[in-house]
Amino acid sequence: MPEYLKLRFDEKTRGFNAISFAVMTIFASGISMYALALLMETLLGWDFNLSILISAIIVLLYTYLGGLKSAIYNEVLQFFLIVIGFLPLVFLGLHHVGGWEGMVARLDKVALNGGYSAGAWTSTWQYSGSAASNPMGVEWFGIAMGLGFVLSFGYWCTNFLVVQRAMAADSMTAARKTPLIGALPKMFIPFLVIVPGMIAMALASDPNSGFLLPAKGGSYDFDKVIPLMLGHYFPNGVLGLGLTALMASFMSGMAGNVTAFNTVWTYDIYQSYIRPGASDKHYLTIGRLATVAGILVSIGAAYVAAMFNNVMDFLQLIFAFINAPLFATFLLGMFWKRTTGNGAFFGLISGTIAAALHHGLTAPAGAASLIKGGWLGTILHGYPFGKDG
Amino acid sequence: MIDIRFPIGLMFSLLGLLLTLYGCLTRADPMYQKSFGVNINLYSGLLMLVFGLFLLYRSFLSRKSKKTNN
Repeated sequence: MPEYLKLRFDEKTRGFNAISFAVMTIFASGISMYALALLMETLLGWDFNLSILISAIIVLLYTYLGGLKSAIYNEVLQFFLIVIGFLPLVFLGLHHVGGWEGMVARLDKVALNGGYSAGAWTSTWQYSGSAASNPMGVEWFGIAMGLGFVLSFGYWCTNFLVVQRAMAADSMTAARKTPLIGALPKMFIPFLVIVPGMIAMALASDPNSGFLLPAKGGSYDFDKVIPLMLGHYFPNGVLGLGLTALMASFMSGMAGNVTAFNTVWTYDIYQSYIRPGASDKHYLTIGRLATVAGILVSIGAAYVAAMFNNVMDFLQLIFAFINAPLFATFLLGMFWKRTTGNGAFFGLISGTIAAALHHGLTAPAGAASLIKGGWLGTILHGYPFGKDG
Repeated sequence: MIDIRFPIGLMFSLLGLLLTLYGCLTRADPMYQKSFGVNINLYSGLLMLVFGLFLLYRSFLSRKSKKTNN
C-alpha cells in the first residue's frame, strides 16, 4: 500500500503511511492475541498471562513456517471450519430461547428494561433516527457513512490483507474481483456471530436462563460471549471443533498482521530510510528480527486491548485513526487528478490529528483510563449517550 | 497449484468420521444435557463427513477430466 502512495503522490506520504500502517498491524495482531488468550482462559481454564505467552510462541512458529500460499489455503479451510463449528451454536441457542420469535420477544423485554422502544435491539434502521433511541448510540448517518462508506470501502479496497490476496491472483480480472468474491463468504459470518450474540444478550438478562455473562466496565464483558456460549452448549467433541476453528482464525489473523508488519518495516521503512542498498541476506535477517519484535510488541498491545470495554471499541478506534484518513487519501488520489503529494500528505496528517482530537474530547461509557479516550481533560461528548456516557 | 478441494475434503472427511464415531459411542452420555439431549457430535460429524466426501469427489472428478484431456 505505501508503494502505491509513493507512485501516486510522493515519498513523505508513503513514509507517514508506512509508519501508521505498521502501528495498526501491531494493534490488530494484539487484538487477535488477546482474543486467543481469552479463549484459552475461558474454555481451558489457563492463566491469562500464560495464555498470552503461549499464543505468542505459537504464532512465532506459525509465521516462520508458513508463506503466503499456506496462509491463503489455511484461510479457506478455516472458513469452512468456522461455519460448521458455529452452525450448531446458532441452532442450539435459538432452540434455548424459543426460536427466532422467542429471541425477539426476549430482546424486546431487554430493550424496554433499558429504556428503549421494544424493537430497539432487533431492528436495523427503525430506531436509528436519533442516537439516544437505540442501544448502539449511533444515528443512521453515522451507520451509513461511517461503517458503510468509510470503513467498509477502506477495508475491502485498501486493507493490506485484502490487497495482498488480490496481488496473488493469477489474472487481472481475478484480482479485480477479489473484494467482490471475498465479500460473499463474509456475509455468512454475521449469521454465525451476531445471532449468537443476540441470543447471549437475551439470555444474560434473564436470571433463570442458566447463562451468565461476567461484567466489565459497567456493561457485560462482550468479548467472552462466544467462548462462554461454546462452553455452555457444546459437549466434548464439537466443543473441540469450535475451539479449533476459533484458534485457527485468531492465529491466522495474528500471523497475517505480523507478516504485514514485517513487510512494511523491512521494505518501506528500513530499506527506504534507514539502510538502503544492503544485501538481500541482510534484509532477510532484519525481516526475521522484525517478526520477533512485532510479536513482542503485540503482547503489549494485547494488554492494551484487555483494558477496553470490548475489542470492538478498540478496533473501531484504530480504524478511525488509520484506515479512515487513508481511505480519503486513496479516494481522492484515484478519482481526482488534481490531488497533489503535499495535499495527500497533509490530508493524512490532519485526518489522523482530527481522529486524535476527537478521541481526546470524547469518551465511551465506563472509560476509566485515558487510553480509552478523553485525554484532553474535558469531555465534550460521551458515548453512547451524550455528555455523561 | 494444488487443488484446494483435496486437502480440505480429506480433513473434513477424517474429522467428520472421528466425530461421528465419537457421537455413536457416547449416545446416552449425560453430557448431551448441555445440548438439550441432541447428539450434536453425531449430526455435526455426519455433516462434516458429507461435506468432506463431496469435496473429495469433486476433486477426483476434475483430476480425471484433466487426464482425459491430456
